[in-house]
Order: sequence, then structure tokens, then C-alpha cells
Amino acid sequence: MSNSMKALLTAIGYFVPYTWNWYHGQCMTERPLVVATCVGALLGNIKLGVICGGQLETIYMGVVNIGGAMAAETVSATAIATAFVVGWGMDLDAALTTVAVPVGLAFNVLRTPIMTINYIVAPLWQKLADDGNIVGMRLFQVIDGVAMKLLWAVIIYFCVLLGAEPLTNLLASIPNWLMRGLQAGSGLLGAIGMGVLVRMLWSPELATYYFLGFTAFQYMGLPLVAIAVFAVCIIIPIALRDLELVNLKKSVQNGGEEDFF
Amino acid sequence: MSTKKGLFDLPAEDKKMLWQIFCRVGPLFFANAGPSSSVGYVNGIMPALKRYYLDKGDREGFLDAIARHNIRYNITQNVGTICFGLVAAMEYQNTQHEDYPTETIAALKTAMQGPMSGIGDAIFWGVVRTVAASIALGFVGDGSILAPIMFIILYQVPSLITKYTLLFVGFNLGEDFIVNAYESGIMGVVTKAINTLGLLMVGAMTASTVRFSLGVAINVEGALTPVQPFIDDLFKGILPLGITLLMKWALDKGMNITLATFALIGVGVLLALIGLV
Repeated sequence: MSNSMKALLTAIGYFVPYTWNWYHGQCMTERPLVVATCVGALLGNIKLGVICGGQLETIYMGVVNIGGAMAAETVSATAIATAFVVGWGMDLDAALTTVAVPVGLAFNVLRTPIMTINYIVAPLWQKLADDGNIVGMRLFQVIDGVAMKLLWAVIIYFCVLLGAEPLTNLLASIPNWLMRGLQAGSGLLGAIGMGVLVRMLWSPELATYYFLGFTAFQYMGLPLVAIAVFAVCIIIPIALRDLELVNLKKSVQNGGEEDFF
Repeated sequence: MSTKKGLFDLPAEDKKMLWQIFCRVGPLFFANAGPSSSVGYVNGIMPALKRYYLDKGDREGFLDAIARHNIRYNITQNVGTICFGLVAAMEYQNTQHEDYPTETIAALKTAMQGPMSGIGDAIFWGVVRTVAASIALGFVGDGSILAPIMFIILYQVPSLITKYTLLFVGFNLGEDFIVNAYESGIMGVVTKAINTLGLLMVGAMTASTVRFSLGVAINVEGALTPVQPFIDDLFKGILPLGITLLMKWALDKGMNITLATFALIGVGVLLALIGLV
């Protein structure tokens, strides 16, 4: 099998479970155990693929995308590392340390610029939404999702084609300021989504609660569930008081008995 | 003698709509070209919007509803369906009542995200996935294909059951709760409470999602001292807070979201280049 064939098969072994996972509600097919099996199967040694997957799954057991922040890009790291092990006979432990880890970290940072490329089509989405184009919106979802994952698959293809050592050298040569800048930028991106929400819910009377929520998280370090519970505990008495006021108004309007003494 | 309504005892029309929603929420995070997951959410809730607005000829209401749901959404998928059910019920109520406060739908959606994700992440990402993985890893041996298969099955079974059930829970909850609120005349109070909760949670989420700190250090009496701790002493998180409120102001003035995205990333890289982050 030629190198480019192996690279192509790796890209496919990456693309299929990865896309399947996100299309079907995150059914775990993007996890190392599954992706490595697929890459291994395509490269001719499914057993070795499963073993790679087992190792990588154990290493990445704690790396999950909770709240959008992830420590490493596990899918590409798995695909590329497994490719080198199964397709080129690289030693598994060597692959884990010299390929999987740096790829995982570098690709994690790569996510932000790639996501930015995706935003180029955001105006199209906006137009579809403004027009209420149901079929268009659905097509957009499918095509955009597939296209972005294909983009990743192409990147994986070239990385595998490059070979293990050139790849690690390339990754080491990315300027530090660029990595830090992209990380800073991606940290800031949340501000936009938040800005949209704040704008929607903002009112001068309720503004204080925004700062209350913010400070509760920042200074008390409470998890969101706890803040929600606290919030409900504050809001319910206020709501009950509002209710009393409403009933008061009603009885005053009705000129009713003075039963609030 | 009353007949207790079962969770799935809904009119055929409702069941059909909920099934359609269930089929459409898989790709919730598939495409990301709008505010977080809005592409997935709008496509997911579409059966409800189509049924309650477009099919009744209310095109303007339809477009308003789409705009209303084209906002940030992020709940763990297996439990997020409760939000879809609730929203479907609320959208229906919106068509029934002239004075229905539509911003409450967005407020409730937002308020739910934190707690539901917390529960969903803990149960599914934390427990179910880890248990499934542990069992599956036991099958790896010298390369048995049973390992990945077991992993997927052990995870998917509880995941799909929860996903399907919570959709109906949300819908039933929405119907009962809101109908009661209207009948007892406390809708205004309820709305204010939900809006407050929503805004409070957005505040908390701002703190948890937006990250920005200065990495620069300045020379103070010969020693390199980092600047960020001083800013933190003033008010922890003042930079992310300020940037978020700046975004709100910019969006109020009509700034395009795509432009804002590129701008923020550009700013990040620029600041790193000059050594501030």
C-alpha cells in the first residue's frame, strides 16, 4: 500500500466515525476506542487498531468537551497516532508520546482558526433564517457540518502523508505567540454568544441580577447548578411578594375589604 | 374517578411533532456557523415552529420564532430534549395568548442551560461514558472488536432512552405549568421570575465561558511582576465582563456577529504578538 493510500484510508477512518458521531447526537463514535478501530481496520490490522484505541481511550479518559473547553483534540491525535502504528509499524508507546500528545495539543489550538473559517458562511445562515427557508436551513446544517469535517480530514491526510518525524518538527515550530493569541481569541469568543443573550434579556430593573450571577461564579466559584439553586431560592420569595402585590392591586381595584391588615 | 395522564399519552398530532423533533436533534452540534449551536437548535425545533406558525399561515410569527431561537444554546444532548419539549409547549401557548411574553421563552431556554448541562454532563459524560468505557476496555484483550461495539451499545441505550423520555417530560411540563399560570392569572409574576433567572444565569455563564487574562509582566523595582493579579485584586473577571458588555453594546449598535468573531480572534492574536497576553 502506498503512503498516499494509507494517508487516504486514515482520513476516511477519521472522517466516517467523526461525522457519524456529531450527526447522531454524540453517540461516542468519535472516541479513541472507535476511531482507532476504524483506522486500524482500513489499514489492514483491526486488532492492532483496537489495542491502540484502548490505550488512547485510557489516556484520554478525562479529556471531554464539557462546556466547550477541551484539553486536547483527541480524534485527530488518535487517527494520526494509530495510522503511524498500524500503517508504518511505529512503536505504540513512542507513537503515544511523540505523536498523539503534540498533535492533540496543536490541533486543539487549530480548532479556533478552523472554526473561524466556518464563520465565513454565517451570513448565509442568517439569510436562510431570515427567509424562513426550512429546507435551506436543513441543507445548510448537513452541508456545512460535512464540509468542515472534510476539511479536518484533508488536514489529517496531509499530516499522515508528511510522516511522523517531519510532523512533530512542524508542530514544534509553530510560534508561541500565535498559539497564545489563538487561545486568547477563542477564550474571548464566548463573549459574543453571551452578548447576544444579555442583549435579549437585559432590562434596567433586572440588571443587578446579571452582576449577581457573574460575581457568584467568579468569587464563590460555585458550579452553575449551585448558582441556579441559589437563584431560585432568591427569586421565589421575590415572586411570591410580587404575587402579593398583584393580589393587593386587585383587591384595591375592586374596592374590596381591607383584609390586608 | 380521574384518569391519570401517562407521560406518553398525548394526541397523535403532538406525538408526531415530538417524534419529528427527536429525529432532528441528533445533529444539534453538527454545524457551527451561527451563535453557538443555533443552527442545530433552529433545525431541531423546526417541526414545532412549522406546526404552530407556518402551517397556520402566520409567516411573520414563524420568522419571529426563528429569530428568537437563533441564539446560543448548549445543553448536553441526552438531556437537552427536555428543553425542546418545554419550548414546543411554550411556542404553542404563544399562539394561544395575545400577550404571551416571548422573551420568556429565550429566558427559560437560557436559564436551563447551566443546570441541565451540569446534570447531563455529570451523569452521561461522567458516569455512563466512564462505566461503558471501563467495561469496554475489559474486552480489548489482544484486539477484540467487541470492545468498541460494547462501548457504543452501553452508552447509547441509556442515552437514547433518556433523550426520548425527557422530550415528553419537557412537553408535558410546559403544557401543565403554563396553562396553570395563565388560569390563575400569575403569568406576569412567573414571566418576571423566569426572566430574572435567565439573566442571572447569563451572568454566571459569562464568568464561566469568557476567558481572558493578561500574560504580561512589568518591571517593578527590578523584579518582573505579572500584571493580571493586580487587575484581579480590583475585580476578578473585570476584563471578560467588560468585553461581554462591550459586545452587547456593539451588537445593540448593529454590529455583525461574523465581524465580531473575526475581530475578537484578531485582537487575541494581536495582543499576543505585542506580548500582552
